[in-house]
Amino acid sequence: MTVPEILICLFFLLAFFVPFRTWVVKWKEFKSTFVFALVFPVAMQPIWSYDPNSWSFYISHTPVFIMLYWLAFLSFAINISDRIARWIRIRKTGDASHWVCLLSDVLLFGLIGIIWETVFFHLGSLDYRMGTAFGLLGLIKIPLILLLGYMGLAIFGGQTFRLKKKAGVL
Amino acid sequence: MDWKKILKTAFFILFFAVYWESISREFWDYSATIQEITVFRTFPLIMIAFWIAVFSVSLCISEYLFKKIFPAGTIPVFDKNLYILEIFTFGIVGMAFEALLGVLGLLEYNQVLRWTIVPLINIPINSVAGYFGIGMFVPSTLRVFRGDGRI
Repeated sequence: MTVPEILICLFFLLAFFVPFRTWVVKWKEFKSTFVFALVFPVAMQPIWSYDPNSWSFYISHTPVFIMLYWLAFLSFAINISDRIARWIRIRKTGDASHWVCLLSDVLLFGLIGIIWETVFFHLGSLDYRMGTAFGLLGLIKIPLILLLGYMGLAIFGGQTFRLKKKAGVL
Repeated sequence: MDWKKILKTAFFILFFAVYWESISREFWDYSATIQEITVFRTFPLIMIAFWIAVFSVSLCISEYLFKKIFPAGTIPVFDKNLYILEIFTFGIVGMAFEALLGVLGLLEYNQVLRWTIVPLINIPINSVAGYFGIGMFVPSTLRVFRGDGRI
């Protein structure tokens, strides 16, 4: 196993156990994120190019561990965002506002996503085929478009992941 | 639907159109015809209209079919059957509209990005997946922010 693969496994374990959820919730969560984790990196293949020495297994030219990363990323970001939103609701509004969820989703998706992109990029395990239209993010040299992409995923997908999880659909 | 919901829907679609046209700028090149009329000298008006058309037609078809097949008084925020209908309607309508843009010669895909083109319709397989993906996520989000119900 390579360094990025080990890091993704550790991230997956973190997302699996933190915060504590029952097995039923974990299964629903898995179902709601599985298709996205499988299809999204393949559909967005033109954006990333993967270093062949950094990844062991591939499905349709996409590393299997990248799919595992998306699975862990979504579970972790949504769960932590839910925790933050609940904490804000208790302290401030007392109301289950979706705007609070949106704000915490956008911040968390952006933050966690950019941290991982920075790690993968600086380990040399992936590169970007596009991303100059908006420039790069200061010192970390990650295309700004990536940050917008993660935030967009939070804006347009965050709420639906919750609904899918609640309904337990793929 | 009352006018407030129509306004919210219109705003959401415009927001999505502007967002997507901003981040996907490097995916393709628009023809000179498309770039003749732009909003804020950046976003081609035809593409904004394209997204309004994709959303309006897809939502109308999926909600109509949902009401016909599964008789229900109102459209729920999220329902398994509606979810499946939306995935297919957005996928098919989006593909058809983008294929039309291609036939009319209004856009060209950036070859540096090594697209895999679907034969007959001549659009990248990534675009096809994208439209099905939009159907999977965006309509439910639209209904949440339109205020149709709580999560």
